[in-house]
Amino acid sequence: MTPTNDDIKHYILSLTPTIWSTTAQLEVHPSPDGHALPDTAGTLGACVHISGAWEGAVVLQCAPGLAARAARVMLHLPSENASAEDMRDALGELANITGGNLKAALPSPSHLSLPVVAQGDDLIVRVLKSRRIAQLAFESEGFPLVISVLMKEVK
Amino acid sequence: MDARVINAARQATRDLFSTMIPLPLVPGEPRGLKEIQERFDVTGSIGLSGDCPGAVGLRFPKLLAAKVASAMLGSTVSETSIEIQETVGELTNMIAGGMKNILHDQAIRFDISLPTVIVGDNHTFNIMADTEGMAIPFDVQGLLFVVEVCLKKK
Repeated sequence: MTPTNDDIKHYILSLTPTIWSTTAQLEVHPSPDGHALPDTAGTLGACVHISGAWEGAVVLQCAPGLAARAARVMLHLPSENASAEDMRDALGELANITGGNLKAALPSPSHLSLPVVAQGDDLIVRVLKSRRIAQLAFESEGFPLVISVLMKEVK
Repeated sequence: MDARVINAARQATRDLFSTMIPLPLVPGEPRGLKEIQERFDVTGSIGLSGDCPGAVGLRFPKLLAAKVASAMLGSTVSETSIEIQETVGELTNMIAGGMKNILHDQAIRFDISLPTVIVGDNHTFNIMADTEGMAIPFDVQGLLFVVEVCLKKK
């Protein structure tokens, strides 16, 4: 049975804190600020696509400070500093885990793409030929995290 | 890396320009991804699944993205226009689709994902996982764009 858009929203809301606490040892909470995209320099965006019986994508966007904290735990970094490459590795893996968990709740068979990660100022990440069915804002240690789920547009 | 995939990316890009974009295109020699020092402002990306899991990236500086979009659409497109995003996404889709057709004849079969477009001045772009990648540079009137192909290592 295909989950509804509300099912998917609730799934991401409950899944995300679990993923971030078990993988990156970070407490992540739904943000009271609503759907505020990270507005800092060097924002990271990671995207995985799901294709097959269900087609769409999951996009994670966060401030570099949050990606750095995740990287230090996930990659067992000895120092306080995480490189840009470390942050990309960490967010890419978190996107991969989020997408993989969501895929398990979607019609099968579906396949997960390789994650792509971008970093830059005023970063925009758009999945074309799709419509957004969920955009959920979280925060962790004062840093914003936004997770979007997009589904292929059927014309 | 399978040369057939790189050659298909180069051919698909040349075919696209020869049929849809009236601008002179000069292909360069494929290079390793780390040899590309240029930074780009608009990136289109499509995932590949099947016989060659990986991804294709199409990367432009915004000035060239606007020039290509303008030539393709037949009207002036500004560097900040949302049409840039639509055009780069569509170009990426067409290059990946062209590769799919070329490689199908060589018994390499794959599906392609929805196109993703990333915009941000001088942004970095990486395809994560254990992959090997090559970049094909193309010169258009002195400006450079690249087609990146990354395939999961076997």
